[in-house]
Amino acid sequence: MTTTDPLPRPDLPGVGQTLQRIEDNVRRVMQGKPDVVRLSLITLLAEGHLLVEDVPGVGKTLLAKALARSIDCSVARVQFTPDLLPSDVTGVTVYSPDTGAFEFRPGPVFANVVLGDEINRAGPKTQSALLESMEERTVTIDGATHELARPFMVIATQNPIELEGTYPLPEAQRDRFMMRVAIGYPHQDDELQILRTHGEDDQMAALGPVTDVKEVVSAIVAVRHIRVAEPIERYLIALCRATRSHPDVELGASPRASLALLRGVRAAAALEGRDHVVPDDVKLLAPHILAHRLILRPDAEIGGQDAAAVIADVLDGLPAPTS
Amino acid sequence: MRRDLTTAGLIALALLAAIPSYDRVFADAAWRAPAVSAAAIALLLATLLRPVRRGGGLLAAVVSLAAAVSALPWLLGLSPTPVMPRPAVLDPLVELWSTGVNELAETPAPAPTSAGLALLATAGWWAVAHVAHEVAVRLDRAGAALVAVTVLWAVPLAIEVPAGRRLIELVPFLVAVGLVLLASADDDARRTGDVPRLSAVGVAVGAVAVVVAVSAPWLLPGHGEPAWMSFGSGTAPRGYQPIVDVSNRLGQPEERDVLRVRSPQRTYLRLAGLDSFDGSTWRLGPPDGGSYSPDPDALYPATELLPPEQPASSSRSFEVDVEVLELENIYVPLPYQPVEVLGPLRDEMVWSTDGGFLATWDTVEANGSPTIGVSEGTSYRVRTAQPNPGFTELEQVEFDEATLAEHTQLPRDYPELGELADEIYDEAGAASVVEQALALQDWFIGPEGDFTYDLDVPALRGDDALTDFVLEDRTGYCEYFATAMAVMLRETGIPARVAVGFLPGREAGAADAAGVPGVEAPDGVEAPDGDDGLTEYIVSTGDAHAWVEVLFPGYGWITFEPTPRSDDTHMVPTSDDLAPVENEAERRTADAADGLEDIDPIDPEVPDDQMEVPEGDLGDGQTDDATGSTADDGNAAWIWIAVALVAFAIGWSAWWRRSRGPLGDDPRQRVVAAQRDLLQTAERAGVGRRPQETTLEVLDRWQRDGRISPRHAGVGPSVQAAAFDGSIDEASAEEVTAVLREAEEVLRRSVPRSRRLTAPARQVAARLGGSVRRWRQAITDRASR
Repeated sequence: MTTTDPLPRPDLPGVGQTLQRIEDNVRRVMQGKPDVVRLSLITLLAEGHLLVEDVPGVGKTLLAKALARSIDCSVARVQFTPDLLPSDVTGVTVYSPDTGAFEFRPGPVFANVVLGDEINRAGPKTQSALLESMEERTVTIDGATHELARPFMVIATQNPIELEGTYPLPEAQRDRFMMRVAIGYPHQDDELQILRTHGEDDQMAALGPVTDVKEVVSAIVAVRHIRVAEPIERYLIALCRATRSHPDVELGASPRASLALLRGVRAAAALEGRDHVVPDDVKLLAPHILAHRLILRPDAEIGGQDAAAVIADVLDGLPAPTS
Repeated sequence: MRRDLTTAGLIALALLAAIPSYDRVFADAAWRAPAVSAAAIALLLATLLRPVRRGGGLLAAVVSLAAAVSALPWLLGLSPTPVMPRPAVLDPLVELWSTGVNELAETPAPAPTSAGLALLATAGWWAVAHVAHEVAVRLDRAGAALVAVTVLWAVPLAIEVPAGRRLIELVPFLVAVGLVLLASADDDARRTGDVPRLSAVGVAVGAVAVVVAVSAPWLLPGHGEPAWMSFGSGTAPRGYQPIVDVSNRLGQPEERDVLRVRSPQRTYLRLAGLDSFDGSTWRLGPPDGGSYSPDPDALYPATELLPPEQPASSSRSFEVDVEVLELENIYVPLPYQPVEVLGPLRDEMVWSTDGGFLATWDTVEANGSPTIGVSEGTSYRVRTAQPNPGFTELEQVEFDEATLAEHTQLPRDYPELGELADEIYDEAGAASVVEQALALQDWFIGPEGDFTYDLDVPALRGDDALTDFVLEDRTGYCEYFATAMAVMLRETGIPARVAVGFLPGREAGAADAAGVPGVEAPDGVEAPDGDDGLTEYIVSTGDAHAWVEVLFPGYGWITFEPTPRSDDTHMVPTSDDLAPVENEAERRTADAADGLEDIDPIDPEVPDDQMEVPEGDLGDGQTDDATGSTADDGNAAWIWIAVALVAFAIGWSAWWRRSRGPLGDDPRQRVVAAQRDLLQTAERAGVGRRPQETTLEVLDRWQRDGRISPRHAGVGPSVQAAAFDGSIDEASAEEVTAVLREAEEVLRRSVPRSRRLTAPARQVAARLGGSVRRWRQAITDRASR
């Protein structure tokens, strides 16, 4: 090497191997959906949160569980209902008759992986409690601030049908999820495979951890050291800015979106075992990281335009850097 | 860089090796210096411009063309310095070019190096040198480059030479060509990392060709038949057309003395009479032929008395001694019409009663060196019977049909000229042929016609050129006047032709009986009878001339003079004296001096060197003070343009380097540069990266399209690592660079040549189409909102 390294090169092969093990493990139960597995891993590495929007029964919970199980970390599941209270999520201070003191009982949010099922069914107050803790990574209850676990990742699901009696996440709140993915129905062959494997016995029970929290945290640290060359930064920013000026867009990607994209592409590079980000990473992640943050103009929306198409359109009109 | 220089040097070598081949074409070596210098300058320019990459080929071509136009007059000795290309320079060049093409068709090889032929050869060598360099170095196609050089070398092979010389021509050229190929083959191998392999099919085809060529030459077309062209082995003189010399000689910026003549009277020195008109030029022989061979029945050896071309019942006899100072020709200049030729060379001369010329055998010796009869040092004496009929005798001449039919042919009708001639005859009240000829001559030469003598006029080419000259421009020189008058005479049914030769020349003093100092009486030639009254005349290139002859059966071809030469050295026949001995200047002096006998006769000689040099001619920078300043301005402008061009080239080169980025020792930058080259090549070939495509995507697309192999596409990640701050070690960077270079070539070849060539046009069309689509989209969007 003739150039001087501004940052120490992380142990990328090691990190890559760790991530590969997790990915392989999850894919044992999450068949036919490599993209979703990968995106969720990217979210994990980028310390983001995942919003899974899909119909029931396609494996949203399975994904979250498998991910948590592979890492050998705690997983909590919250089934959001209209009567769920914020304290049901964050935890509550109760009086302990034994000690005679108030004792904090942490809620499900203190787990490493939190599965928030049907988040749109809870009232806005409860939703906000979760979203705030997602952003702050701390929970303050009765004046005491409690650090959340690390890694911390919320996988929230939202059912796009059955909208009656729900509180769909406001657009501004969706910004707090790093990524939104749709799992989609499996392919015919994959579904057959699912039928055979999952029909016999509980695959999840057989799924053992392949790594531990410590390794995942070091991977998260390593990802921050992935290099992003200036042309890539410019490309990324140009992309976000272009969404703001697109004729079909009411509200484009925020600087928070740019940051999320930056963290995402770093994680994507690490997952590929690269120590540098390439434009292809940006193109790969942009629809997942940016689309759910865009608010389209009503007329465009009526005209059948959707955010993913806008992102594709923007990418198509943006010169990619080659050096 | 070193490779480029080596290739350029080897091409220069190959060009040098082509020199012996051109010695078949030219009788002397005068062509060599300009042609070789031209090739050297062209190679030098191309080498200097080689570092300019993008668009460098076009730039080099433009610079080379400009430099060629500027330097050719200088190389050919027409101008003392390289000149600024401007119309005044270009026009004579274009004219000289067409003269050269004419001479090429009409001069048998080996030819003396005339200005026109030298221009063709020099320009050809320049062009070949430039093209060969650009193809070999810039396009890296040494094989294709050698095609140009080989064509240059092979052109003279049509001319037969003794077998001994073929090796001299062949071996050095083959060696040079082999060296060029070797140098380039080595490079190709290094570039791809493979040893060049012979294709089995190629070896087989080559082997079969060699076997057939060696063992069965009779199978080859044309084997054993006489050569298509055979020069210099016949017994008849094959003349080139003498008229092409006239404008050449007149156009020379510096006059040269060509003949020294001792004669009792002024006399036109005639080379030949041209009987046929092809619409633009008068020529010997039939109007359709190129090189001309006279009818053997009309040829007579000059060792005996020469039969007259036309019987002349009344003539004036005199003898003329001619010494050739600097003239190479097969036609012998002599006063018309000769009765006897004396001198050592007369064994080699032949007299043709068809055209009335005395020519020398044009032969090639066994060693290939040509013999040109009339050349420096040749001396001969001619006894002449100049037709000198009286006016009244000619008035009564009757013309028979055969004579008319033979000497009034024209390639087409010139109705305007015929009408004009009739008007002129009517005005002059001319009834007889001689009156009509004189009337026409006087119209041309006198104030009525209002003609201007000027050498600086375009060549007499094109259907309307002659009519335009007579009716509108009325500016030209002897060839124009003679052609016009002869055509008008023929149009009105009078047998006429154009004769070419020289004016009598300037008087150099009286020749005494012992001979003129510096002029030895030629061996075997006795001093002419009646030494008294002999005058020495010096004839120069500026005296080259063409005039009209009209046939009066029984009295011979009578000279008429339609050209109003500005120096008044022409001799105009009148009804009083149809064979004058004094020129116009003398006649005017005599008229002026009439009755003033005690005044010394003013020297009638108007110095020939005051002959008008055409303005703006190539030599104007040195010859004419009045035009000198403009020439200097022109050259100054040329210097500025040259400076600007060089500055432009340097700037371009610098910009190019910067756009390529520094190509230091950093392997990462070499990879990036290779990527950029690849993308640029793709762009030029019309399969460029779409702007939104990443390197991986475009490589993938090319692979899917079958343009590059998976191995080439597989370097994408490494290229991106180099481009985007990733880790890449030196060894793999080298490898990636090599693969990219290979991919560049593979990709280029994947696009058919026709598609490659039309790629720029298609890109522009696609961009335009895209813009139109966007506008339409924007308009429909706005309308729908």
